[in-house]
Amino acid sequence: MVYDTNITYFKIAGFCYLFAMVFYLTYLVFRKDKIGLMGTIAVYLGFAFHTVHLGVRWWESYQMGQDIGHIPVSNLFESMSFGAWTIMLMYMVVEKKYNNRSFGVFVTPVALLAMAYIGFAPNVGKEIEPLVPALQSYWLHIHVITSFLGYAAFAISFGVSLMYLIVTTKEKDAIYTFWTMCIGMVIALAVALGLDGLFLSQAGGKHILEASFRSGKPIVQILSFAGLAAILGLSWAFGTGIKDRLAAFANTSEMLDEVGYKTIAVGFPLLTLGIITGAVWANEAWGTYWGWDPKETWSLITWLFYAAYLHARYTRGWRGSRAAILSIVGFLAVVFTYLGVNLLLSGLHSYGASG
Amino acid sequence: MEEKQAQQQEGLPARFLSGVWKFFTSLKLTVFTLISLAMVSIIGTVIDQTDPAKNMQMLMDLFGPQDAPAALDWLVRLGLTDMYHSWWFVGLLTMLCANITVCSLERFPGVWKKVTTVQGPLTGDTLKTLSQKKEFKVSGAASFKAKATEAMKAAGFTPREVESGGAVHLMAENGKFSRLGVYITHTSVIVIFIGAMIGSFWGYKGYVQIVENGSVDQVSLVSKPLLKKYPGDVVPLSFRVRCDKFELATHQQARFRGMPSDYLSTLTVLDGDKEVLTKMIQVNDPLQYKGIRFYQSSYGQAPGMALMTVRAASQKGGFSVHDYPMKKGDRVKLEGSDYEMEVMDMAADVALGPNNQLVAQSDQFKGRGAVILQFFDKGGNPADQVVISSVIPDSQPQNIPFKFTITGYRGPYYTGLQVSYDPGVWVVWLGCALMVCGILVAFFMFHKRVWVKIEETGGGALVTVAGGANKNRHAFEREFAKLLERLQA
Repeated sequence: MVYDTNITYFKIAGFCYLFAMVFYLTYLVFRKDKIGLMGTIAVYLGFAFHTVHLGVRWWESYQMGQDIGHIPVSNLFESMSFGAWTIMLMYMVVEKKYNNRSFGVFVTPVALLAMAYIGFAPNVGKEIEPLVPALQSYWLHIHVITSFLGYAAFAISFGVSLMYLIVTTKEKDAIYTFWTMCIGMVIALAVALGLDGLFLSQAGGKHILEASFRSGKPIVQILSFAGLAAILGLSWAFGTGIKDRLAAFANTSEMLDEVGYKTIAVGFPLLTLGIITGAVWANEAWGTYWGWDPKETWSLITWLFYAAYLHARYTRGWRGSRAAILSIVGFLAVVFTYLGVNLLLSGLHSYGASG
Repeated sequence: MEEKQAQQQEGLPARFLSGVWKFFTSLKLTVFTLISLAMVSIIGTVIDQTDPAKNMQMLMDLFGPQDAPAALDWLVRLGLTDMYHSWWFVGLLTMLCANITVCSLERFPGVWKKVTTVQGPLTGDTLKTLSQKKEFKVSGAASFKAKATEAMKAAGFTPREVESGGAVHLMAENGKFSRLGVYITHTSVIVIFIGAMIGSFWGYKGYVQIVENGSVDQVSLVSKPLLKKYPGDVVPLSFRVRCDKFELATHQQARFRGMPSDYLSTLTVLDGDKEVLTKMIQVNDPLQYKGIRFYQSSYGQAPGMALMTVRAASQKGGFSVHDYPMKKGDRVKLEGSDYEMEVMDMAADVALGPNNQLVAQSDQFKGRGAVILQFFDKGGNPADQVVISSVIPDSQPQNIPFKFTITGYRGPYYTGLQVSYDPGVWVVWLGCALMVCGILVAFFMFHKRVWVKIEETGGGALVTVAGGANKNRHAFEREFAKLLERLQA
């Protein structure tokens, strides 16, 4: 018997998030409150199904055997699904607290990209597998949960900081180029993943982005880079349109700056707890609480970065745009810590050769 | 002129020291150091810190096999292959410590003064600094005072009453000690560093391999302590650790059959020939004795120490069966007879070769093992020697009334344990706990103060309500507005 009912709920959740993003985008363009509300409903619905997915997967793992059952955060698929769940959780809290739906279009794509990647990438295994002995510990629960809640908070700060840069743009200067490039890259990544999903339906050692940038056919690669250039160019050309759309919402730069800071003020203690629980666990498993393993080191790099952010805010001139840029770069460190280390570097945390 | 020059010269060392002090009080230095540490740490994740072969491979991919060795040499010289212990990395960490210490020493006295100063009545100067204030008139001073006291209590304050300058002051403050949160956090960083240093100076990491039924009383060092020398890089233990059994648990479900589910070593500690502790350890559950910890790390087959179980079934009068687990070279008494038998050789898996001799195949026992038994009679003289194997079932000893079969075979395992001794680890945990407390206090608690000043005027009173918070002003604004509502109701 194959226990994959949880995957069905995963797919439904993913589609709900897709609808949410579309609604939020429409809301941004047309500013109809009803559409914004539908976006929120789609998020709540998707989150409910996503929670069911996690719960069913947990239950199904125990159905497979007492020695196989585990909290669903043990491999790339499970952890990324959980990561998207924490991002949506944080988002719902922030949307409610600030009564503001314009954040939606900047945060839901991050969760959606995560769901799309693990949903479509051919060699990200979705089956439930037993925990390897090294992961059989209660520290797994608290270490993963605190770390991902921290990452989620930083993801929100990323979205809000992007909004800050958009709203405070006055001319097409370096900062304008920076945020239009950020948005362009996210759109290009989404398109590339979509192509992967459409054309790479068979498994067999295929890698992420192989339908576009990493294709064996040179013509496809050239077209991919041309497409990327086009998207970046369009983003730069029409960025002012995004700014005009956003300006219609009640997003003062002070409020965006404050939310960008407060989410980091929530994420930083969580990340600290994540690193500390990781160290305590490492000491119970290997006898060393800090081994300069790439994953450990990158989590420290992320931590140092946000510590710099927090200290910089006390220095005049480092609020506002500079803080927003630091927050965006910090999130890149978060993404590398979580994904880059596992997929590109080797070490104790490696998920193996996937992607 | 000379006097002035002399004065300036005397001032120089003092001026230099105060300049250095000032350098370390800079917050810009903090941001610079934190970001520098972050950036250089990236290098250590790209250049392998443990395996030179990986670096050589990477350099060969980048520069080709000709230039790779020279490039690797440069990396080693710059300290990049062990960068987290290099002088410049440790230097950056030291700079951060100095920065933290000096900043805290500089700012702490002022904060301590604020924390220990009792809140005084509302003066004109204080009023100027407060962001929230409101003035209004009320009809009765005494009744209002009672109402105000209740309202402040309901808002979570404990008001004190003082008479000053002809007016009654009700004042309260909460979360004064939250101002210390930052200093707790900074101290925690220093504590963690101290713990880490204690560990590097006197702690060590090592490795032991213990074969089943064997024991060790010393540890091979993998990572040496900086301030203690162990001759031969081996740490002698004041006790023995014996491995009673190693078990490789595997999953039984069809899809995962054969996948390891657990590595379990049953270890016994012998201190002065007495068994003091027995524990079955697994990954994430180590053995600890006298501050030294043993972690399940790896395992393997110990060559030449297989255990074969030979079953001897008596052929005369009554069916009696006895199992003998034996290693190569073991000599045991054959129960129910005067004979002894010795294992001359054994193999896990054999087949009949082309010339009708037995050929060893794999070391996996599938029921086709073979053992050469040499029998000795009552006087100790060699008697029969026979090969026992299911492949040649008719091969049995001639004069000894027993039938022999092989019922089991277990290649003994050795268990690989990582050994760790870290006298600084509890200091590090203390630092971590302090850090979590400090961060929570610094971020989520703040210092709030409120005053209600009641000045009696003819037929009533003039009331001034004022307050302020050192952080999270928006939240305090809402709290203050609520308090005002209660007071003006």
